Amino acid sequence: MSDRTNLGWTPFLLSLPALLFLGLLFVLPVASLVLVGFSSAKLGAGGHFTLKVYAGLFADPREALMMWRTLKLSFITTALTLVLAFPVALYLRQISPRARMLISFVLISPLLTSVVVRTLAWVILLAPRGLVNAALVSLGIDPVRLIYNETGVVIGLTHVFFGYMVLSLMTSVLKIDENLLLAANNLGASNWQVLTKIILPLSLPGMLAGSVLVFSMSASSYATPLLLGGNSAKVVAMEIYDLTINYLEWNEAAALATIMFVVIAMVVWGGTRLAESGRRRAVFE
Amino acid sequence: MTNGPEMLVLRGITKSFAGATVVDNLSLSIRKGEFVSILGPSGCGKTTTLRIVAGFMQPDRGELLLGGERIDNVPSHRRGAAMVFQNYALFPHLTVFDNVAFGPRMHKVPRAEVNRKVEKALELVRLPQLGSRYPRQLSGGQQQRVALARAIALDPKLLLLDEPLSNLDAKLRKELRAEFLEIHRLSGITTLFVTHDIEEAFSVSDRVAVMNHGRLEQFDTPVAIYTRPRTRFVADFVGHANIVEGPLVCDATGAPSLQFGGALVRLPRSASARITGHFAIPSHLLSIGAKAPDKENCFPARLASLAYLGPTVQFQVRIADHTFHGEAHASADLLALQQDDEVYVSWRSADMIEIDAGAA
Repeated sequence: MSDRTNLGWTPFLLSLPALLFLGLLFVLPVASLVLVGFSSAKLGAGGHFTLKVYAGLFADPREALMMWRTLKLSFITTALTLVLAFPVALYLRQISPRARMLISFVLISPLLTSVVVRTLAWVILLAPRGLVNAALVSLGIDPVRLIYNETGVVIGLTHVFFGYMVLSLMTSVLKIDENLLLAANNLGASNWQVLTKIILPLSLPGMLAGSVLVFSMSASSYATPLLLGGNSAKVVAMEIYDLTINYLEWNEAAALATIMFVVIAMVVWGGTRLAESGRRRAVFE
Repeated sequence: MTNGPEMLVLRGITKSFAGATVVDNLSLSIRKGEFVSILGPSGCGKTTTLRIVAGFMQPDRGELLLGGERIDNVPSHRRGAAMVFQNYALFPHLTVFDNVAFGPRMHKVPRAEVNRKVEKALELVRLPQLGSRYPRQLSGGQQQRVALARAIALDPKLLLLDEPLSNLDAKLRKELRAEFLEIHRLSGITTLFVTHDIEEAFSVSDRVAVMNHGRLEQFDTPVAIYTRPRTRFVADFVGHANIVEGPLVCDATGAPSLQFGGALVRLPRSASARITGHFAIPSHLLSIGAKAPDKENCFPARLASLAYLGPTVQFQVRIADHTFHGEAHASADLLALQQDDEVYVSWRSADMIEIDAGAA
């Protein structure tokens, strides 16, 4: 890349506003947040370094359960969106670019409304006496509990993040050369084998990118678990809110946020590494 | 080899897309072990024909027979017709070995047999050491050879080549062309090759099918196609640029001639035209010189251009309002000529090629 156009310092100077903005309003607060988790002082400066807050969090089975639940629900949401979105991405491959644009827009359109509005709509549908249960009862079936538990959270999150997953998958799936599928078919592969031996491996980068995105957004989501899960399906984001606002336990809130940050970062990093190696193998020349 | 039994038979194949007929009542019969090219400009229906044979699309009408059996309704993966794609279509996530092994594995060939087939195919294309590489680590020519090996490893009854050389540079194209021919000689697989390049088609094929607008214009050996083009399209497509046409007359000696501009062009004795004639003069059989040679057809002309190409010289001469294109060995006499010189252009009447013989 020695013949790359050299723009000197211009790109750096032009990115200075963004770098300052991020540095002052993101990196510094996060750094101070991390520090608060290791501080003995409550609600302010001073105090000394301590691991007591972390020790307390790890010793509390309630907190461990919440972290476990957050990761579990994020994982289930990721898996569900992946399974639901993959056929849609395959379908988008087969249709005309015009129809593809239309359907993509329909998929993205939920993202144009506030997550709170969308989630409240789910409450109307899933509530104990909501539309779904009313329909079940009228059919003579016992009502089911679809809300204020983990099921409700998964339904809500899957709906919210479905579009992101389709968009991520599309980048990989639409790139697959039609001739590869014809070649595989011509060499003796059935349609199912074309799917498993060619399409799936070549979609891996998109699958992993989408999964990383959906997983990290699910694990940090607040409004959807709050409205659809409530206290019986409490996740870490809700606990952090409670600790900060209701109990004024800033040290614990900071420590919990730091732990989740590290865990999500590890998952994202691992997923990205996997995606990179997958992409390297699936790259088209 | 070229007189074997029929291997592939197309009978009245017709295919339309959105009302446009792309392949029009095409019938073609290819013998076992034969190397046949379908030659034509882009949009002539040659690739569609190949895809119909491969089983990627269904013809609207017509029959397909491979080895004596109807294959119209046999899916692509059970036809035994292996395709090599223009863009190679190698599986990017698989190694060269796994790419070549893909076909045999899909056909549930035992592992030891798969290894043997892959090794044999890679040896045939002279890439035995590259099995563990990925396609993107190979040059274009190597990728095309792997694609060929992948098709051959299937032991197909028929090899289909879709412009397999058009993404390569000229030198590599010639090399690979020779290699395709050698592999065909060694394997004896009946081959159908689609190309728009005359030189490519002529140099490798036993017979060439020239297509235009979905129809078969002529199906014959390269020599026959060049020296006896049956239609004006074929004559034009194989590069016959020097055309003389006009009413037929008899000259003073009673020999058949053609009135061209103000001159009489002496025709070959074999001429069959009756009222008007249409003849081509191959550019390499046209001579020019400062002196009038002793040939039946010799006309004064003006040298419009002379291009030195090393071993040969290309020239254009103008006779009245007609431009003739010629090519000749770069002799000292020729190189002494200057643009706008008065020259004599000449050719033997026996070298003239009648087009549309029997028509008119």
